[in-house]
Amino acid sequence: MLKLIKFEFMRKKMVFLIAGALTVLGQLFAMFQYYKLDETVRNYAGEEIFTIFMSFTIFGFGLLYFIDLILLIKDDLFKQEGYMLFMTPHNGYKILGSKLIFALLEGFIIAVVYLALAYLNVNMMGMGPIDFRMPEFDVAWIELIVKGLFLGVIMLIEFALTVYLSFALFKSLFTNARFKGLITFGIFIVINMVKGQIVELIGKVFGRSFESIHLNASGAMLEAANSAMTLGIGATLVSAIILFFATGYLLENRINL
Amino acid sequence: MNTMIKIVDLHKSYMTKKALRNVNLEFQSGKIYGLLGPNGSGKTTLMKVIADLHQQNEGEILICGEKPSHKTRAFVAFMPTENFIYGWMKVKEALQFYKDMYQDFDMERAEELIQFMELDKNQKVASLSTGQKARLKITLTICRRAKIYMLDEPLNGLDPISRTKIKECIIDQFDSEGVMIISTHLVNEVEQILDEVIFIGGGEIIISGETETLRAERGKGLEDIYREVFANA
Amino acid sequence: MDFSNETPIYLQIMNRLKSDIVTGKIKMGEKLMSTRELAVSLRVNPNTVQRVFKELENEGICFTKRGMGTYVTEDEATIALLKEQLANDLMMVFIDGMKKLNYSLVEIIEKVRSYGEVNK
Repeated sequence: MLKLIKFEFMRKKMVFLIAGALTVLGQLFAMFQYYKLDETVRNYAGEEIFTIFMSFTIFGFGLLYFIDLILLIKDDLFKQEGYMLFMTPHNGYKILGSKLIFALLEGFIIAVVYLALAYLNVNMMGMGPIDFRMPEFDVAWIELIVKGLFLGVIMLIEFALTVYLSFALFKSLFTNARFKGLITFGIFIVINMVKGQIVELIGKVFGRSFESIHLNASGAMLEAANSAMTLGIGATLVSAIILFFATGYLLENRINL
Repeated sequence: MNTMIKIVDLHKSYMTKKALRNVNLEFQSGKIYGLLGPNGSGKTTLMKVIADLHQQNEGEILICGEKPSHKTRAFVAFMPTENFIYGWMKVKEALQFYKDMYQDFDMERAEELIQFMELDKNQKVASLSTGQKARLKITLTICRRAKIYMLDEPLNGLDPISRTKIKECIIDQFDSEGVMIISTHLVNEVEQILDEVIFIGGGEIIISGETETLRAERGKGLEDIYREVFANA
Repeated sequence: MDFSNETPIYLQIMNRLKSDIVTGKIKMGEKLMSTRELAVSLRVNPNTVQRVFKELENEGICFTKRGMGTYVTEDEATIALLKEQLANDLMMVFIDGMKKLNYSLVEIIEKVRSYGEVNK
């Protein structure tokens, strides 16, 4: 398992290097632009500039991470030079699991880099340490934020797994068919429809709809939001686990590479 | 001699195309087998099913008594005909990958063979020539101490020097405990190496038997037998 | 070494080794290459080479020292006999061919003599 994760890092070392270089360049460019500004403007709009810069950065990082998540398995299944990994005596679940662990580590690294960047810029712009405290700061809020982050992560992984399952289904059922992209996308839509149906069915059984809870989450009641988060996490986790085993099964037993 | 691979009534089809029909074969230890047939005859499919990269629709395969799975991959060394080695790897990283992933990989031997094959360990796989890629592929595959070796088209599209080096490497590696299966349509290149030959066409086994017996029976070399068998194909 | 399609490969290798022994290219009592070495250098199946060694041993031309390898016999009589055999084999092929061309034995001898004088 460690060897498999090591391999994923080896494979990505160039990507990491380029991403790192781009980040440094971007930061230097932003600094250059910032110090070109008049001092009064800087003092006046510093916070806004900071917010804009950091939002751009998080969007960029998020997008790259997302693309990377999908590429993580695509090349192994679809590229001619890809299946070197699937020739090794590791079972499909293990290979998939290693990829997910790698994805989590990668996400963690990106988060750390992002926070470091934020900290650096805040200090440079002379704003002092960021004051993350909210007006109504209490335990329920922290809980909500932590849960929100966690939900975000597993939703991303759940989404990635849905894509992986589409890939695996394509390679198991259609193998050498043409219109790879189109068919895979079709499979992806079908899986999401099935997922929707299942959620609806469960909702009916329990007499409430998940969708309305999701809507409520952004609403007023903190407690309701909190319990909605918990439900969301539970549902996403269950879905992710099912998707993991379905994909692992196909990789191990059904796939034609 | 032990039966290493036993294949019974194997069928494999993709959506509309039948790739293998009613294949029954046995592979014994201590022998080198040639899987001979034109392109699209089912050689690659058969090898990939044995290597657990493809799944059969019907029939059974037993490799040392086990069905193909990630477990059998531990003692089956398969060399696909494609360039299956990641292009971003350096030669030495590819060696390290094999060492990490396969317990039976002999790093010392691989280092020697890299020299013999005149490969540069610091070169990137993507920048190797066709001949060099083929030499790297065979080095990686053959330096595993596996029970079963399957080489899919090891000599295709190569210069004479690469061919010779690869053939010498195959012969040198072969031992009486294992099985070697080589697929090719370059019959006269491998004629002197094969104990047994299997002619495959249209996904079916057409003839199989000892090379020397076939040559004696028909009074011709393998290449002529090949021409005769596939004249209509 | 080029191989022909008419005769089994192991026989072709055997004949080659025999003529090397008779002509002294391989000396009496000399150690032969190992199965693997010979197989690699001739680019043939190791099993074929093994068969060659076995047959040569059966004919008393070679012998195996356990764990040491295969050696050429040191018995001069055996090698003399081998030379005789190889000569006979060649002669047989030659005379068969000439007879097919309707040469009588006497004519063949005459032909050989005049050929020998021209191509000294």
